[in-house]
Amino acid sequence: MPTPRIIAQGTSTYEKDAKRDVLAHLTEAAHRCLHRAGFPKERLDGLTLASFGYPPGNVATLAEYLGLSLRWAEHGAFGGASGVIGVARAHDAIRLGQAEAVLCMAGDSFTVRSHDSVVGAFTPTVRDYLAPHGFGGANGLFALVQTRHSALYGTRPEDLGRLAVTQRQHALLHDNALFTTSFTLEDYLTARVIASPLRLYDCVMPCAGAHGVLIVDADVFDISGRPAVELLSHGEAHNAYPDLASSVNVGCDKFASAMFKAAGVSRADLDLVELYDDYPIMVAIQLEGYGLCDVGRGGPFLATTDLGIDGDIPINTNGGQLSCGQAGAGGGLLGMAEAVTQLQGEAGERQVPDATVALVSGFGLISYGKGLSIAGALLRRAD
Amino acid sequence: MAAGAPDHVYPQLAPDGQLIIQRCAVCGRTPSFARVRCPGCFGPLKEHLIDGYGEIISFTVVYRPQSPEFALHVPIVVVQVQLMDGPEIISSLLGDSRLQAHIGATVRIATRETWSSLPQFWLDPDVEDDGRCE
Repeated sequence: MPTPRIIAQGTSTYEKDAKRDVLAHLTEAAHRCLHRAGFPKERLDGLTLASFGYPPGNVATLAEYLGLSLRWAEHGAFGGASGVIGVARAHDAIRLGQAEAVLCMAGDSFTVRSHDSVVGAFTPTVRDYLAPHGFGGANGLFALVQTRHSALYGTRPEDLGRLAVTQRQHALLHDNALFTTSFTLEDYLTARVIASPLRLYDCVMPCAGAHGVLIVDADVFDISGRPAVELLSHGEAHNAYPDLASSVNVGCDKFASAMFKAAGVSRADLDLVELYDDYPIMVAIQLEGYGLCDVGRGGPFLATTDLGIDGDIPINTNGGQLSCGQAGAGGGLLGMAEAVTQLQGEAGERQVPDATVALVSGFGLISYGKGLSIAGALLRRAD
Repeated sequence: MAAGAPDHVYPQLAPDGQLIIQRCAVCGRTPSFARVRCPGCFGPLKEHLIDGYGEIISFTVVYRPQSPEFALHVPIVVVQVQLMDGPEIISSLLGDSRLQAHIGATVRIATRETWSSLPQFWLDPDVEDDGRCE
């Protein structure tokens, strides 16, 4: 059976004000990824893409633009879950012999204004039922989620703020992060209200950027020159709870146990965790869904766990979207790219000591009161 | 009409201040937004009249709308409402008292001075205080 291995990630230089278009960012990320791997472009036979602003372009038009001849392709249509799903599908395609070398990509070139217009029609129900209320975009929707989570479980802003403050500390060690001014918990709690209870440091800044992750069949290509990463298992869920009109449960509980079992690792084995952080509350909810804490205890978990690089469970070790910026669909591959970097031992100043096993999660596709799609993957350094 | 726009949206405001929702003729489910068949059992959906009351189960005060066309209405109070005898829906509040929104508050359908194309609500005390109803 083929042996899929992730051998490199490549990231474009993020921009706050979208100086370059999405194809410039995707090309830069692809070039850097292939260059780092020392892998010839003409040997790629698979491609995945997620981008919110690129349509009517899609994965096939990106193949045309990059000059790739493919026998396998996948276009991610699952919002912030698309990046993780792209890598997972590529892994399985290689395993099935449908491709030998797949470049998994995600990116966008957003300003605040262009992001607003895309979000206002992100899904049919957002367009038809939320936008007519001036709902505040993703901020308004996840403000509803946080208010509900707090009412149900007593989740406190200061618990969530601890995550935001810690991630900013991580960003200080990451030269591609756009936000590198540290702030205190007091700053977090008193920042400008965007959509109550969400304040400035709860919200991501739309930006421009792209990521590529290269996964190849180690039985076909000599990968001995590069540290490799194995995707142990993955899971996904879409509209996990049809009768629930809120993201207080995002649905990763549906596959988490099976995913850990298939990987043969336990939650205690995790050296780092990269969770989709469009808002701190969603990190808390994913921690609950993946079983790192009990349902409703995401807030207390964040308050009492050392989340730092040298801590109990390092979370979002490159600063996450909250500090790097949210490059549209690229945000869904940011955590995967960081996990790969960490497991390859190439994270420099922010390297988690002896990083071996990582959990990565992507979440998104905002719709009627909730994000519809979530995907998780467990990765291990392949020795 | 934009490509992909739906034929109908629900709930709709009925002339007498009630709401028209959809209700499944088989399982009784009341979907939050319009469907052609029941999202639970795929049974046929019938229009169904309910009183326009509900309870706030979540809310947010939005200071930055996603589109400049709503700037006049800021701060916008977006609410998640459990309708009495109906579905959980997302809407917005009208009136100066809207900033007093809280979980558990009763809301009533607004019958005039609305600015959304969809049904909006008043906090119930607001309705009584300024004599707009009964």
